[in-house]
Amino acid sequence: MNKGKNVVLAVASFGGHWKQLFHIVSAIQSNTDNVEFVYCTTDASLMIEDKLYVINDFSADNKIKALGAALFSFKVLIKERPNVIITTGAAPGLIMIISAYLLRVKKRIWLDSIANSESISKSGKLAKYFTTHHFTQWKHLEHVGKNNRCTIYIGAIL
Amino acid sequence: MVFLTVGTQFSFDRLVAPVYDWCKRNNSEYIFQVGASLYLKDVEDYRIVKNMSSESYYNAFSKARVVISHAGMGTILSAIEYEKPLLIMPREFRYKEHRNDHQVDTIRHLSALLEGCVVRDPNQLIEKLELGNLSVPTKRKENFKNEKLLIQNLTRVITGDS
Repeated sequence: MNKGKNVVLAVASFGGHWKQLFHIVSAIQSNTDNVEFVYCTTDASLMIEDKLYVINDFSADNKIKALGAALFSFKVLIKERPNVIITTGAAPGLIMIISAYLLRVKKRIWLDSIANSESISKSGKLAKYFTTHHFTQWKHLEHVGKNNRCTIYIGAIL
Repeated sequence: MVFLTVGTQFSFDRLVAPVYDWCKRNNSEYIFQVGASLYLKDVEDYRIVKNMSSESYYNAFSKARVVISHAGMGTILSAIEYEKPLLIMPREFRYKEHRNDHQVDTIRHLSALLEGCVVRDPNQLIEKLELGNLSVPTKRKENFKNEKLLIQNLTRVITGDS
């Protein structure tokens, strides 16, 4: 473990998922001290001030690429040793959450994209088994599942 | 300048084709990000690209007079941020434009925010363009409230003990 330092790894595929995540996490970042934020997305041309990893994009049905992404996730997680991982999806976020579960990252947060207003995303439903916190941005999608596996409304970017 | 952006998954020629034809007809300047468009696949034009770097995306955004798009959250959030007039038409599952109808859900659930920005078919879109009947998506009280709640709650989750 890193000694006393709080590291947050924020992960999202590029596009709408990233736009939401970066906006939200930047706001949190400006509210907090003593927390180091590290980012991971799928676009190599992106430039931000904080440390950024680039993961290959893929859709959930491509198993070979998913395996490559899993190996990459392990590498990032072992190197950064975050206490918190937060993602808005999609497939790369899911793989990162599963890897974080296997490596026992303390808090594993799934914030489902605001674009999913009628049901939780496919990757979000799968992620639920591996998260410590499972959030939606729509009040009407709050859900109490088996074994108290809850999806909780936490507010929304809009 | 008209900036058209439709994301990178699946083609969306039901939107791309009429906007391209309209720009040509009206000698309008344009930048298009069209993903896997079949309609423009053989057109050689430096203003038409499949994908864009984030830098050229925001460049195009800031220069645009109007942004035309599918109902993707990235574009909606950027239009709010850059205060740009926005016209959006959702991708529909029945035309195989996406895996499901979440874009149709998006325009329904964000209807207040997107008032005046949404069209459901190309004819409506052209009509709005012709008339210059455009709106900038604007956050309502409720949107600010939701965002504040989100940031407060998530900050607590991330920095708290539980």
